Amino acid sequence: MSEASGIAISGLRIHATDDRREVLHGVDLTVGPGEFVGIAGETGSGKTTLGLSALGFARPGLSVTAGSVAVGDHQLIGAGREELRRLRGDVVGYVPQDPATALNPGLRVGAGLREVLRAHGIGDRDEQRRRIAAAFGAVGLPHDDAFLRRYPNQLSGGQQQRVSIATAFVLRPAVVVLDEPTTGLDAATKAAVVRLVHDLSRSAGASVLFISHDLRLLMETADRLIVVYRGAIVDDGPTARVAAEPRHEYTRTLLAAVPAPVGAALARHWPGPSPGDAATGPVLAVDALTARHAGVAVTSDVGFTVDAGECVALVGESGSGKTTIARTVAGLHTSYDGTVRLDGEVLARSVSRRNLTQLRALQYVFQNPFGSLNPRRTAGRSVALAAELVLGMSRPEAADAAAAALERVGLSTRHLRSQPHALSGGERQRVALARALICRPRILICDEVTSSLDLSVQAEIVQLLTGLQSDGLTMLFITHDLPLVSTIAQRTLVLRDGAVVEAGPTPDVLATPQHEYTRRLLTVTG
Amino acid sequence: MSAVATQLVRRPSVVAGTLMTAATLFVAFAGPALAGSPDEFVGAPFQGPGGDAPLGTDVMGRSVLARLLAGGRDFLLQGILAAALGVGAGVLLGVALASASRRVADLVLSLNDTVIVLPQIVIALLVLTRLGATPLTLVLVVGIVHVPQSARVVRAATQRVVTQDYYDSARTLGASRRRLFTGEVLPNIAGVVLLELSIRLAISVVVLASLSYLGFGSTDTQWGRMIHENQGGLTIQPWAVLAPVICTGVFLIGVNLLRGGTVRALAVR
Repeated sequence: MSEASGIAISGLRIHATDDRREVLHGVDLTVGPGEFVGIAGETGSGKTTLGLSALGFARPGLSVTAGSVAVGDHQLIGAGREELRRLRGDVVGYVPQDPATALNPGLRVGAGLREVLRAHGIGDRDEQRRRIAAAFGAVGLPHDDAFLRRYPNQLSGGQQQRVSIATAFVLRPAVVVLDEPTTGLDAATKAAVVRLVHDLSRSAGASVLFISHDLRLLMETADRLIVVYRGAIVDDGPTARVAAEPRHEYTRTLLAAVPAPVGAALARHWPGPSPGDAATGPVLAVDALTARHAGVAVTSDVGFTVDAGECVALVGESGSGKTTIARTVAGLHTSYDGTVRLDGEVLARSVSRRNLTQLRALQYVFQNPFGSLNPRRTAGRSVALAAELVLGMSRPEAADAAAAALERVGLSTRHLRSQPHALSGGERQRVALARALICRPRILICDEVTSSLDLSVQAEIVQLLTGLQSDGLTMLFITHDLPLVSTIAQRTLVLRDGAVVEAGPTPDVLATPQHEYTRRLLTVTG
Repeated sequence: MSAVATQLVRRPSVVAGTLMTAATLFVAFAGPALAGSPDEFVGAPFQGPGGDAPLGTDVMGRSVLARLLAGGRDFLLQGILAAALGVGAGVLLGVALASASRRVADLVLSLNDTVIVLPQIVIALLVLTRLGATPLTLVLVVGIVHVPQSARVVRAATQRVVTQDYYDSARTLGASRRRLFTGEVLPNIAGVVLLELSIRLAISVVVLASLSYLGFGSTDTQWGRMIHENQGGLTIQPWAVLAPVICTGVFLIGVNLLRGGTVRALAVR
């Protein structure tokens, strides 16, 4: 099925079935064969709905009410169940967001691919073996029997995503839809996956719809960029044109929110605390920390201090041990050697053995705002509860304080009564920040607080944090995103495999990296 | 919330389930007040419908309708109590297991799984032959055999909650164990517990009816007992068996439809 055909979507309207809300407002999109199209937009913009419509699919709760989707001579909207089953894989391939859940954990990777081939009428074992070898070879995976007999959980995240991609391309479909395929991957793997998709689409002549909220990534890779906003395409053109002269206000906002390359950001680095402040000693001191997961050391001999009014960044890829360090400091990870001191006092390992003053002083903001708020509690109650527990306020006092705290993070009293599911990711992260700030902490630990947010929302949160910092807030800022560090932290520690490989003032670390690993991180993200 | 309500009303299975459950509950709980005397002899045994006995007579010549109306309340009540007892204890055990140390949890769970393997009805028969079937022993036995299974379900749900960041967040704010349970865990496993309750209710009714049918159940006037007593006349006077079977069946199907529809309505949002 490799005849060059491309995809034509016209007048596509999709409605929610429950409240008749229109999610896509008559979208037209034609993609030629071999074209690599990036679809950008924020959560809820309809970009995923648009992408999935290329598979003739609307998720439960949505239905297509008008328009058509055609790949070559095949109509996907209105096709019967059996026909769609045949077309998917054969004509349109799909790479889902999370490879860990997309691959059947009980099926060896070779068997998984064979099943796809069998479902599309390729039953001959030798033919299957040949196809699998070609598909795995193309994505840079081994295809010996030992590898094919592995289960998905025996592969790394990057390998799993390669298997997903091989599955999508194995039948040489005319169109491949990738839905945020790089979200869970670290910077180096992310770049490799994107390059791979690019090469595959070139060699197979497949049209690629690459859905992502990561505009920086799309700008580097896509031939053509489409910006989806509130269920409509607001900008569409060659990537260079869209980047240089955006046609829609929203595209401009998105572009403005892309973190500046490292070099440019250096110019506006933050001044450290004045020398006079240092006399009081560090707020937080971590010494000789070796933390273990199930007996295996994940950090080795990590030490650092955070002074009052300072922001220290811990930077590293996934698996570098940075979140474990943060959880150790917060008292949520208890298996470790070494000491954690707050204002010179050694902290108990477990959060349940720390006193109220210590709990109050050290506040933790979690990576994922979709998990850090109790879904059964309103935003106002979540924040107020923190004040009741830590500051011993009465319920009405706490409610007043919560309203003030929400205002401080840029939310209005309207949000007090909102359930978390009614809030956007950015709003939720603000609520989580308010819950930490209401305690008036000595130090705020931010664990990847921006990584699950859309770009423009990331920028808002960073702005909020830098604002708080200039009010004198002390922070331990954990991230995998080096450019972000330059805008917020005075000092940076680079972690690799649980060890600090480089530490120093942020401008120095970024401008003259001493360690080869830091240089690699800079080239990948810059 | 109202979106969920509309989803519910729009689902035929929910509407049908509600009607069927409500109808049987009405028959069972209003029945004793409406019924004539269930023990009065109104005719010869196994007479067809007619006269004083609109559904015919049973093995002793008593009105099947009167006994049907009288025999639902205690039967369903026992099922409801057994389910509540089993799931209640299961919640306590399940939550305790989710927060216990790994070694303790593994030990209790392997014991738990051994018990799960034994058919509930066999355990119940064993205990009832020793203790005798009174309403109390019936509720206790049927309830307690639910505990291992409910505990497993609740433990899984609780574990999902205690690995969430909001649970850790409450811990970093110094919430006590009791607050963690009532504030973070309970509201977030409520859906699962409700589901479990409806499953256990249906199973309780089936086990109670099975026990009665085997002659080990309650000796009072009950639907399960009626099936047991009248099976000999099934060919002559089928209504004496069919009436309690239909009532029990409608109740079970109703509860299951209601559960299935509710789950799907909640899942779509």
